[in-house]
Amino acid sequence: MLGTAFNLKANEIQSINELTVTEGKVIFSKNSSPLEKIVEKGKKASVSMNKETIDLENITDENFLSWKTRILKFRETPFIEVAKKLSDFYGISFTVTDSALKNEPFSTTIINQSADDIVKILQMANDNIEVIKTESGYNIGKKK
Amino acid sequence: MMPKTIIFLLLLNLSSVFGQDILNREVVIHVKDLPVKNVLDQISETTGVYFTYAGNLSVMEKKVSLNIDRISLHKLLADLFYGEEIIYTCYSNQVILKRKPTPIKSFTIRGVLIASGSDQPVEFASMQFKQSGKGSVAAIDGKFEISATSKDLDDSIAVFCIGFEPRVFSVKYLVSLDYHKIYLIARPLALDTVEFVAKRPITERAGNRGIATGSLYLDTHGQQVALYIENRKNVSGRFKKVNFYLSGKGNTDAPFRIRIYGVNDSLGCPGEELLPDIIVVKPNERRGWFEVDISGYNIRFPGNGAFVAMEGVYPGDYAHFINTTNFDKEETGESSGEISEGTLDYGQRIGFNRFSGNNTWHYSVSNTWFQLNRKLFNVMISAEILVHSSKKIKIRSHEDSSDFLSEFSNFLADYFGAMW
Repeated sequence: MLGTAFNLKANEIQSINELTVTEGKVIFSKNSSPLEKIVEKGKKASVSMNKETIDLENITDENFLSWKTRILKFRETPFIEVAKKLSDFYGISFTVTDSALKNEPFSTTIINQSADDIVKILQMANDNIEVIKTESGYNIGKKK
Repeated sequence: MMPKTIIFLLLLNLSSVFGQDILNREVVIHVKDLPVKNVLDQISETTGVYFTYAGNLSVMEKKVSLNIDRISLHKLLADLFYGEEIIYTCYSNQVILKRKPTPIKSFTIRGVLIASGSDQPVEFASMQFKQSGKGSVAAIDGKFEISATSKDLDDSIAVFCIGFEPRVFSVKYLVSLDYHKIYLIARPLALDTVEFVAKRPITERAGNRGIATGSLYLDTHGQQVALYIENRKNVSGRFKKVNFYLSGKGNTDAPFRIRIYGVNDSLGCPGEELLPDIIVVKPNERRGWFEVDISGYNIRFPGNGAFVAMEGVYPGDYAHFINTTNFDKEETGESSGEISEGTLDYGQRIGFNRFSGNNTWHYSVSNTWFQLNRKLFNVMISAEILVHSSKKIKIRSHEDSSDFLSEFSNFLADYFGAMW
């Protein structure tokens, strides 16, 4: 670590570790391996348990730090991706039930708002959608 | 202590005021050739007001230059979206942008349906929008009137009538003329085989054929009542006839549509539609069993049974009668025998009894299917199913086609019954 801000995320199912760096530089290495790379601000590194390389790429997801900032930004983002992010963010399911809606772009910035508020905003922005509250979250489809 | 309800109302009111209040915030903005969407981002950074929109708003890519030291957000948005058909509303700290809705234009499609060749009107033909599913039924003199809006312009309307070839017209074409004369061609009998070996069929009757203990009203704007007919013997067969026990207390003049459904496996209610065409019938009997021969449609009787339903329809634009149902009229008794608009605001009544082992489902336009109390309201609907027996008959073609047709007709009469 070289004086930085970063986020480390481990996916146990896929045996992948990911590091995203927002400030400074971080040395990223694999346990019991000489493999290491310096990851700079704005980059994401990933390594898998069954792979002997560290992959580096630019951070493209504007919301990768949303868990910390409590801010979500969408800029003409396909609705299916918006629903996935909202599900991760709020820990409840936002399911797009209508395929015609999945690729429809949606733009908003959400700061410290409740899931119910988001649903209200979604409905106000699009007169053609219908949201049904379920036990696990919300189903979002087109009005019949 | 202040009651909880009052606290809630106060908070609600503050939230609402806050929503509108954000438009009064002052904005300072200096940008040059910047797309509107980036201008909105800058406004968000300085005011804490955020913007939400669905779809692609072309105005977001428009580049603008602004050099303003102090302006209310309300006025700035009015200037930014001037002439752009954009409207906005507020909620919490969000401004929600939308395209101004296109005004909906209404059309009335009028005309008459005529049998090609005979120039006789075709009565009670069904006319249905293919995408939206809404529809209408032509009157006894073949005349029709259908309401459409600009939202329907990309749709098409199918015209169905038993005994005629269906026809389909685009709504754009139909609204382009003031009045239409639509000719329907009689559906010819197709005989396409020269040697024919078949098993002699037997007819199984299934459904509710008990004695009526009462009757259920059916309105004329899309209400349906369906009886589940179980395939108890697990026979392999096809629908020959469907029968409805009509009460003399209903409007015996009212036409109705026949519908046949498979079973929705997960809900047990009517599911997939099995009858491909729209069949509307007008009973000629005052009361009692009314039968309709649907053998020509060759509909298989599923192993897990099927629903036979009747749907109230209104000749002309049935939407005209929505919310005007008058239940007081259901006991008016004798009908005039004439079809006129005034007599069709209520429909047939179908008999019911406490017959067990079947079940009755009900559907109204505003609801989904729901099951009536099975012990009390089993509607009297039955079906005749043609089931193949082991006995075979054989028909051979002849050089003389008229002999063949005669012999074939005899076979069909045996096979399908009186229709032939």
